[in-house]
Amino acid sequence: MLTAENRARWRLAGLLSPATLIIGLFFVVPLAIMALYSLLEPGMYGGVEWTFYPDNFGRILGWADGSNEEFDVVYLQILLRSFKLAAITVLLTLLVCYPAAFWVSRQPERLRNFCLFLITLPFFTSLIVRLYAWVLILRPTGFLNASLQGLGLIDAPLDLIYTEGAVLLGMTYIFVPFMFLPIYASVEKLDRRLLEASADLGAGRWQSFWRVIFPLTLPGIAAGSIIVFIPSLGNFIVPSLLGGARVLMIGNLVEQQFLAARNWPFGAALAMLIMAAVLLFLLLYVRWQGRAALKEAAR
Amino acid sequence: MSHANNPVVEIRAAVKHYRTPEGHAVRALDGVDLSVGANEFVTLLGPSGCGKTTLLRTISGFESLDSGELLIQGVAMNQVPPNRRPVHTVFQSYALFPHLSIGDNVGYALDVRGVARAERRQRVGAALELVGMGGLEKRKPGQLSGGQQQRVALARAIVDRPALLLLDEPLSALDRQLRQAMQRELKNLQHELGIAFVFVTHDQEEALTMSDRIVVLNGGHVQQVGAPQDIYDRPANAFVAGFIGESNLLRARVESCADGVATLVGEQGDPLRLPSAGLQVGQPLHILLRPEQFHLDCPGDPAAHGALDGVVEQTVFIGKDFEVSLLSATGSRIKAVVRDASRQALQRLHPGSSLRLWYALDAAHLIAGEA
Repeated sequence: MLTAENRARWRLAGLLSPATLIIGLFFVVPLAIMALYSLLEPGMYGGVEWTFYPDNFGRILGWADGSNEEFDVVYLQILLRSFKLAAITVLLTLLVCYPAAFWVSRQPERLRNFCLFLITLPFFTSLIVRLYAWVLILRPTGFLNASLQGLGLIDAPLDLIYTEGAVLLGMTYIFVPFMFLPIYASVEKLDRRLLEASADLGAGRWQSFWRVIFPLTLPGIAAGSIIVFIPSLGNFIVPSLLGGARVLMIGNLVEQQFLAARNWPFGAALAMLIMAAVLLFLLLYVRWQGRAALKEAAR
Repeated sequence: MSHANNPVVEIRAAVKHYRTPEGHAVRALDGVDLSVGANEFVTLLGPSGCGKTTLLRTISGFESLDSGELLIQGVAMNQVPPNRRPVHTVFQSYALFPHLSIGDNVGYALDVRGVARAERRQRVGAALELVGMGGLEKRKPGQLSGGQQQRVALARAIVDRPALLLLDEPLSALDRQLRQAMQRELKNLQHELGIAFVFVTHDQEEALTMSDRIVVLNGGHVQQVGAPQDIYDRPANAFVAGFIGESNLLRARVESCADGVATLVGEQGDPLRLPSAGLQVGQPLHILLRPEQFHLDCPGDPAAHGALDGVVEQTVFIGKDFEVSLLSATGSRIKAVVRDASRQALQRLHPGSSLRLWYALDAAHLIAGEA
């Protein structure tokens, strides 16, 4: 005989098991394999030797003694550059999306829905195709250089592609929708009557922005920043198409280790470091949010 | 009232058009004049769409006039943005900042102007004390009841003593009991602060209770301006009579004028003889009789009273009084509230029985009417 409580428990287990299975099989298990691999010795011709081998991390972080692996500061430099580019991408997408969200939220409903449709339109075509379009625009014989030369504004083609600028352009381009949607959600919720109240109490536009609009849309900004920052940090498609060999990001390194160098343990170690960095950031964010919530509750 | 001497607000010939979504032009304000004196409690009263909220929002600066003049403390304000006007508003929705504590909400006007911390704390405390919310600085608006939020909105608007406080139907979201308590408190507060209040409402009872003067608006026009009692006893036109209090409006016409006595015939039944001052033969009129002005028996000299005959349609006991609906001999429906039904009177009030109602001639208020 099943009691009501037991039945409820079984039902819950039944409902949760597909998700649990998928996450377990395709996320937790591979992650565990990656964590394990990152501590194993790379085999001579790909594959692994089943011995504990901390030098994968040593190559990156500096304790490789040179007997097995060399420490090379270039990995940290690339990691640092990835952080820098991801952070700038967040800022650029924010700069594009924040004012646009206000504009869209003020439009009549039909135009508003059309704008939202346009924002999601890029998802209908392949990312590679869209990025390759940028290659065609930016390369020395590309559309932009050809046009500028044709107009007589420049003599020789500008160095546009394979620069950090090109990578930032591409990343901003692909991540704009991810920033826009959460910001738009918080901007649309903003009660315009609060802005009237602010003006009524003597605040100018600038003060109303910093005292009312910004704090009330901050959750949207934070959410958008996180979901742009994390995939930017690990992105390898944009730097490999628009950055070439000159602007490597940490994602490219991982890709190279797995696919070209066939050094899975080292690739796994790099991936683990990215994940650790992201987790650290999320932890800080959650603690900051949690503290705000705690403060709220204490009042 | 000294409002004529140095008004806080003066509005002259204000006109404001709106365009509806269908493209029709609507005159929200159609030549409105208004002046509010220092320390005066003025209520803008009217049905929804009468222009009262538009008028309020032109004073606060959220609407601009198409034509006309607006002066606050003698300074032309037409081109001055809301944040530079010495005026604060208590909004219908309260519009408290949800991310700020009560203390920061109330201190907002001071923070914006950079008032020093010690003075700020003292003034925020005093303002909250004044509305009975002392010591709640640390709470957030979401943790307060509607009535409490109302008080905070009030404290926020008076913290830096504006020249004028605008209140946009601030009590409409409160339940009846709380609303009545707040009406008295608002009136006291206004007296204590010595700030002029302009209060918008569609609730005539609220307007009568609180105001020094009432401005009755309809269709973008000022219908009447006056003290509550003036407006109630001597409404300027049929709209005001109908909007304020319950009223019976009987159509009549001046049949003859002789020796200072005019004879009126119309829906009131027997011809009515009244002083003829200001009346002309053939002039159409409305006779206003409030339900409580009727008596079952003639209370004095029959020559000084009018009588109205009819058949009782319905009688409702409303506690102490009876509310009688009477179908008069001329076919109009009369609402009367009569007192002291002795046993005999009770029988008279049975539906179907014929009844004669008496009213004092000087209680009958004449309003110019259209034929």
